[in-house]
Amino acid sequence: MELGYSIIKERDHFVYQKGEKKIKIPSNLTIKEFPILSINEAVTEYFGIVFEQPIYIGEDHEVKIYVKLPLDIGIYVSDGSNYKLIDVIEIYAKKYALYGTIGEGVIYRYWKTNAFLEQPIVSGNEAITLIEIINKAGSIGSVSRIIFDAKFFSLYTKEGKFYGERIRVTRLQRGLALVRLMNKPTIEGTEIIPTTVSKGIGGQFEMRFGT
Amino acid sequence: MISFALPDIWNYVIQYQGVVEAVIAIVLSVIIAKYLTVLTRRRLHEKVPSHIISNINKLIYYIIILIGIAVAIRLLNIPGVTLTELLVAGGFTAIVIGLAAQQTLSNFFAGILLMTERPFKIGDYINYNNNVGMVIDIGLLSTKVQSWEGYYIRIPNSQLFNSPLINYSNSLVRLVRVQFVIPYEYDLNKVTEALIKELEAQWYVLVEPTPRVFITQFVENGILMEARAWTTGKTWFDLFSNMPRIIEETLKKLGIPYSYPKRIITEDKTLNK
Repeated sequence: MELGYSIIKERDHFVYQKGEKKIKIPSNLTIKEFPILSINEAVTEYFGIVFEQPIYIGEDHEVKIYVKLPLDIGIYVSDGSNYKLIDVIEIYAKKYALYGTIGEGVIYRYWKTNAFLEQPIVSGNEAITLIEIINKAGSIGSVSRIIFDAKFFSLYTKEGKFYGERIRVTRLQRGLALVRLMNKPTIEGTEIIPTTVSKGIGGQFEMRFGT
Repeated sequence: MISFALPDIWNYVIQYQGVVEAVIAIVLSVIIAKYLTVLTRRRLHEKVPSHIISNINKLIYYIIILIGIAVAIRLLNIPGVTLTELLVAGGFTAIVIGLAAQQTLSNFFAGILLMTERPFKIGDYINYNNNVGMVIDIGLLSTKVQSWEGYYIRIPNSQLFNSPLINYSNSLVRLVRVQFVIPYEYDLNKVTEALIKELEAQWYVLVEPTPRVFITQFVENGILMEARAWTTGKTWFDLFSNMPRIIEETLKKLGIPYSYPKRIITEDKTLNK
């Protein structure tokens, strides 16, 4: 796949060029590509998975589903152990939506997808993620979307396929659910994408305007 | 043999001990003030906005210098001037200055309240009394705004604090509305569908709340319609500046002309007979 960028070696540095964008990089750093669940940080840091159909779940029941996530290509500079994102090659067009009220809500990147009971077949630019939905609300409820902080979300790889971090959604009350990133890959035996190693405490989002 | 009669510097030091101590006190206060401002800037660098740090530093600096001056006056040991008299004189001066500089003090306290309440921050677009522009500095006495046309506006803090003010940058999401007229003979559903599709295709238009197009009124030259779309506070200008063009291009694609006001004048030829 043609990614539309070039790296030119000059005397003591590299030049990364994509269209009119040019970035000088010292020769002691390397330029690497990694998959990324990208968001436009100027707009939001939240990612939202919106199901084509809402998932109904009985009282005290648990449902496990798989979803596909869109992966763009992140261009990073690295000194061997640290990575800095310098550009994103967009494979998927981004759309955004409001969750909650105008005064207290959050903006999230909107991604509509089907929910699968088994691992779906994915392309090279998609990741599979397992979502566990637990209903502790004391009544039958439905989940039509889940929102999480994308900067804490890790990606993994195994045999050329990409996998996301497990996500647990606990429906606590009517209109209130807790979304937790479990810090565990969707399947065992994977290797973490080094640029997505979570460096902070977080990965928990309270959905208080309904699911 | 040549001998030099060196001045006995220590006699001078002893004679002018008070002056020397006062100078040392002022120099020390300047050094301490400088050190504390550097320390404050480093400690607060990532936690507090830079304009607030800058104002905190000004306060720290002048308070330390004032203490230095007070200590220096005390050390000068001027006959007849005691600390109590200094305090009384200082208090009296403060009252006089307070009365003379009422407006300045009011701006000063408004500045502190603006920094704590934070109705806007540097980089925000505000509208105060039809002065629209970007906030470039929030000082202790006044706030500086750069207008869209590029000129600078200095607004006293007390005015900003006591008057209604619109902050365009503080909104999470914003609605943009554009009205347009289409002639009566055209299909409204086609227009609505095509416009919603075009608006949804723009990355900065939010999927939820969904864009809407509807009739607002029947006017003499056609049907007055309104298109509404939501965007984030940060992408508001993209939508605001592009939405009229999107509407115009969509109507053109559908072959719908601009609806001019029409007058049909008929001549009654029988009247001339």
